[in-house]
Amino acid sequence: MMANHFETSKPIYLQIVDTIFQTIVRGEIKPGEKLPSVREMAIQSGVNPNTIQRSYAEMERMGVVETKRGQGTFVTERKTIVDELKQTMQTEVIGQFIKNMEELGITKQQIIAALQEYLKEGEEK
Amino acid sequence: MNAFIGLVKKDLSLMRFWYLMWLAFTVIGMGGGYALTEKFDQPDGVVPIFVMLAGIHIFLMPILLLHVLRIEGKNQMWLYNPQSSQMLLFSKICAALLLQIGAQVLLSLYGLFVMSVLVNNDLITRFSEFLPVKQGIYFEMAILSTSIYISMWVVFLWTFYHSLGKFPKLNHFRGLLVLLVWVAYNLLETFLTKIHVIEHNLFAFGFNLQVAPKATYDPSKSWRVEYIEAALPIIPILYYTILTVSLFFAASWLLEKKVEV
Amino acid sequence: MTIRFENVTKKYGSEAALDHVNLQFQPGKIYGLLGPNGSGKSTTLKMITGLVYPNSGTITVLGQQVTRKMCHSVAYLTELDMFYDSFTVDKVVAFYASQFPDFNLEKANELLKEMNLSGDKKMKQLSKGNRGRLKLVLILAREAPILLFDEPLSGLDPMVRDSIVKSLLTYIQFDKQTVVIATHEMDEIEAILDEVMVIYNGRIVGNENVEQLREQQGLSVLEWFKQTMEQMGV
Repeated sequence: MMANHFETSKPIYLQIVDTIFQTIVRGEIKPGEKLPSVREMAIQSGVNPNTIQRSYAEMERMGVVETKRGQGTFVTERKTIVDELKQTMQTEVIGQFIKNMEELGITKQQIIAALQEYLKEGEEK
Repeated sequence: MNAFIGLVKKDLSLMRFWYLMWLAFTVIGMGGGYALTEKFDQPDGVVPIFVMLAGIHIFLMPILLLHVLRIEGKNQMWLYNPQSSQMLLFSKICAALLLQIGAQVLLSLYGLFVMSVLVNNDLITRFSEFLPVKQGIYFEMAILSTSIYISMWVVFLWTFYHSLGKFPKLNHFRGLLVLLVWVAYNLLETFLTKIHVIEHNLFAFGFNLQVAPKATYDPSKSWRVEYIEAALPIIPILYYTILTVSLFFAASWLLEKKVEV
Repeated sequence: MTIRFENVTKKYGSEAALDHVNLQFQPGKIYGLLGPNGSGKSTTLKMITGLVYPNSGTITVLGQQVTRKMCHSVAYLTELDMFYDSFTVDKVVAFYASQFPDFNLEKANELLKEMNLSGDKKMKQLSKGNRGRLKLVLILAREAPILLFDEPLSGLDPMVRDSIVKSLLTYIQFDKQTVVIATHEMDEIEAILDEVMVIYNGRIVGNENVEQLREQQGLSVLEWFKQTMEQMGV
């Protein structure tokens, strides 16, 4: 997995933050668990360590991770923050979806109907 | 590993192939020559073969140096090295010198063999009871020093040639310019020796050595080798020593400042 | 400032490879030097290493004016074929170790193992990819303050490219070493760069921070490079 998959319109460090948040929200990295070191993460994602450093700083600023001196970076112990994060990301995705639909001129009722239809088909398959 | 030893080792391995070829041909020349003299029952024939082999050995060191320099000159990446340019060149010269000495030891062994052939056939009138060690050493020294002198010209002219590399317009004339420098020097040298004062004093200082082999061919008795008195001229030797050293430093300077990758 | 070019011009005959170039490289950053072939990238790197001298202007590296001995503190990966055919991998490594005081033999052996290069292979037996890998071993094993890469990915297949980028990330000491990568291929390398510069016809025609490009202009390095070249009329 190398670097060419990044979107051009968004800074790489924020895209890295998004990726890490997804793994936290999915529970792949649990509250209180250690994140890979900056260098490890850089190698995994094919990204400059300075950029990863910036991603970690950003996540720390948001309170999602904590850096313990000499030990590394850990996901916060506070479950509420992780829940909040999940909530925020969910809202973001829905917001984007609704926006896209509205751009197509689809009304709220139609959206709900289309969504129910879609999910039902998915279950039947 | 010490940096200089590392360089010499590298240069030795770059020279190895052609050196072995040279040795192989020399041995073939020696053996083949001897076989021919045996076949035609001309034991004295070993002498001209020896002289010829000794003669071409003057060119061994220059050829080895030219060979490694040509390899390095392909992209000049050998200059990506923190050692001084003197050391880079000196290592090549040392490597070539080592191999030259090795080849001359082989040559001396053949010389001994030639002596024994001559002695066995009663072809030597003097020194028949002992080996001409002193003469042998001076003879080898003469080959070696001539070889070193030519080598230094090769090194200097090679760096001069590559110093011109950054002038694309001169690209087609570089070889010509090198030749020009060489011819110009020789004209100058001839001119200098013609100057009255120099001409008369050039051989003023010297010390006598009984070294010069004088080989004469008498059809009835065939080859005769004698050693006659010869003066070793001090001034020319001093002159060529200084010239050789100067060529080395000039080459190093050019390599340091003017040759680019 | 680790590296500084002041008004540097380099001419080959009447043709200028670099034309009054002013450049600065800061310590601890990774720079991408971009430009089409023949634009002056290689000349720039060779000048920092002290393998080529300017006709006018000054180049200072680590506070000193550059001489041929600069490669004492500058590790340089050339695009040229630098190996002697008859040498084995071990012999090449031993030679470099003997010449450069900052060469870390242990690190070199570790890198050789990682890249599956066996020590007894001769240069003429090595594939192009393996030659590229060996060049990388030789530069990454040096603990020099400055590392210069001239087209480290050029002509190599995607697998090799990925492994090379990975080794760069693994072995460069980002806090201590200043890195300049000259390339005309940006895909794999873009995300490891801090700063990018475009050089064209011997002049610096663009100079940006990679993340700022995305934040402020919404451009990837490749898009920005194309745009810059279009402005130059290419």
